[in-house]
Amino acid sequence: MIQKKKCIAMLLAGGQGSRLHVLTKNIAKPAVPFGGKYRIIDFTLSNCINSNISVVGVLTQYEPLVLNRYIRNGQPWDLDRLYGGVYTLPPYQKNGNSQWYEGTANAIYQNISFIEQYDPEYVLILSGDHIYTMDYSKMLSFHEEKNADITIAVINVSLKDASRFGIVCTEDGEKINGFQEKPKEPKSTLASMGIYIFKWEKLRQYLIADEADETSSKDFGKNIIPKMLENGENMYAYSFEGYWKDVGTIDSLWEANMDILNNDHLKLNDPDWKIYARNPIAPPHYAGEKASTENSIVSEGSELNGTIRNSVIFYNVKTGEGSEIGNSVVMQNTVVGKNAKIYNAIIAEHVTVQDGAIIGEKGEGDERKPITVVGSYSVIKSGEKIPAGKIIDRSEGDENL
Amino acid sequence: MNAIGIVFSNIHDNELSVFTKTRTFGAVPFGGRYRLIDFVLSNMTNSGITTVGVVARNNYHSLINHLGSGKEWDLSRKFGGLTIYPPYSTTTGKSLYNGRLEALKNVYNYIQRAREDYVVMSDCDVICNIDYSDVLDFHNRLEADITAVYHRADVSSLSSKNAVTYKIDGEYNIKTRVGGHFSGTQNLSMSMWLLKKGLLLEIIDEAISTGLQSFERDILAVNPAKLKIVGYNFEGYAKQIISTVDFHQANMNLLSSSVRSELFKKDRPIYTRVYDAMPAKYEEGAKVKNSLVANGAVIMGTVEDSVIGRNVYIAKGAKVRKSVLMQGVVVNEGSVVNSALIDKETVIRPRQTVSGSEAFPFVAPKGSII
Repeated sequence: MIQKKKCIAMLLAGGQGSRLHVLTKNIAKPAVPFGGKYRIIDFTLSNCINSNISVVGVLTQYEPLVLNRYIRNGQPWDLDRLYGGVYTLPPYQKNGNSQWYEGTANAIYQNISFIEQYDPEYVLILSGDHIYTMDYSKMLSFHEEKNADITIAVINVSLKDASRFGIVCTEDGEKINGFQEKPKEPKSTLASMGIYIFKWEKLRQYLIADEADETSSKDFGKNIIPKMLENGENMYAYSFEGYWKDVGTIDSLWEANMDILNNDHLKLNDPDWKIYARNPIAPPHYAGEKASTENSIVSEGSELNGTIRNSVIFYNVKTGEGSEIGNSVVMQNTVVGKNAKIYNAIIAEHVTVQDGAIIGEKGEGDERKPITVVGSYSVIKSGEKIPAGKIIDRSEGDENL
Repeated sequence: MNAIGIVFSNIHDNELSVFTKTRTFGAVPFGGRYRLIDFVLSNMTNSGITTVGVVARNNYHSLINHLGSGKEWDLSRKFGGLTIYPPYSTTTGKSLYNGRLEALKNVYNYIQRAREDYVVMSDCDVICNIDYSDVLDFHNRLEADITAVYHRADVSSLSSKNAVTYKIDGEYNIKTRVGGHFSGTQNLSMSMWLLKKGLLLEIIDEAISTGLQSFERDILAVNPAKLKIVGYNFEGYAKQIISTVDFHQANMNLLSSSVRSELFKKDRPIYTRVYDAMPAKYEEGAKVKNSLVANGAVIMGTVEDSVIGRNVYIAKGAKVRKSVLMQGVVVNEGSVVNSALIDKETVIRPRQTVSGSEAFPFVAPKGSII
């Protein structure tokens, strides 16, 4: 039975995110833990449900186990629905030609029949690797008002950063008349956020045509959008103002975590725009007699006995007496021993930092030290010293340092 | 486990009357993020009980709101699962029950229909982590008719005249005493009983025809049918809540790491409703020692020896000691809160002092402005 939906979302979550190194060794980027209790994908899924979009297809490919287990029936995001809800959509074997998802456009192409179940007028294309809160329903109203074939969400970036993005040129700030994918000499500072609303009929045509084109790399930014521009389709830019951050690198992931503490634009406690997550089952966290915590967030189940400054502490983390954690992110189930020191670092889940170990370096004043990263299930031995900027992975035992 | 659970959510309402004005006993917030009923339901779920009936008497909106479909306790099931039984008005026009036996009349059909052979009955007044399948094994080994769960506790400070204690008579057989003056360590009832479904139905039938009300007083203590009633001594951590003093103590006990490790076990967790609050935020100048802090709390002031609930706000210069702050409480700048139990959404205005003692904790009802 077809239950017609006006707009459904397709969330591209198949990327490896290789610039996050050891943090995405066994999990897809959207499943990387963030902000004390969330995973990156929670922001996009929460935006969907808060914007009244109740069908979300999540396209997975790279290391989907953790992501699948996390999303499951979608209940934490209120996406377990009689009609619709959230679906994880891995590539599958077909009668005839079977393939992996070859590019962003190809991934959607391979799921045309999923989309058509809902007979939508519009399809919202999203990616699962940004931290932001955005009301897609406002963008959809804009799209309808302009009778656009495609609306691209854009954000103003500095000229210096513009060459890292897809850059949109407009006539009057709205009507798109040019598009440059990661240009050396950007003609504008309106960066595409990788959020598109298409008229489904139009997108369908372009996906089918693009699939038939053997020279195409089957990518929205490189192929579909330039082609639509070439054909003079009705294309609009929707300006977004607010917090938006690509967390595709170690530095940007660390910065976004620090922004929770220091940037008023990233709000996780807005009662009208909750960020939902699959919650751990743990009692409130405990701060001990010797604990001292300032300008930090701490999640449930943790037991604090040391000093914590400017840090994001996930759930079920234990810190020993005399330990110091500064400007760092410590993910769930990690144990920090007595007198251990962690500065300017990202410590992944299930890490053991033994007594007296030192990870990273403390900067003087505002000096920024390179971020040190310790991969999940690693053990940092008692008294060991990990220099700033080092990336450690001992998930399969001791590596040769 | 071959048993259904029956949970009495109201039985002890009078004992925490300040908190039960707006809700049932089982829905009283506890330990920063829980409600009292969470412990019973989690114990049942963790013991493998998948059919649980919750009997409610009045003011059960907050309870229903908390329990929802039961999914957080894994009790949203196609077969069995969680069912809430508010009073059922019959043609006699009498709808509110006065005792446990009358309450059981309301769920007679529910018990009768169950496919399981045993019934575990429990109130919500004891904080513990117990495995009912151990109780069932014990029950069967002794070929008992009724097994009552108790723990060894000092009852000298118990303020309730209705405390139920058991006198051991022989090796495991017990005699039930309701009220009476006892001091020192006694076998204190944990308000949990296990018996065969058929026997329970017989007892209810008998109660209906003779007008009995109290399971403890009229059945256990009198034992007219000469049943074999045995006591199961629970040796883990258990804390009865019979008064606001106990309630305060039970919260304070959570600050002990050995109590936390006995209550919040990795393989037998305590489940509760999820609120999607962000992690707790410590601002510049926050000083928090020996305290439990739930998600959503924002702390700028000083907190010692306290239990801080979800979304509690403690402003700069505020001092909280030996207190229990339930969800959404706001303590404004410069205020001092000492040995107090502050119910949900209470606002303490700037530069106020509220102070109680361990023997007489200050109590603020829900939504007060102080």
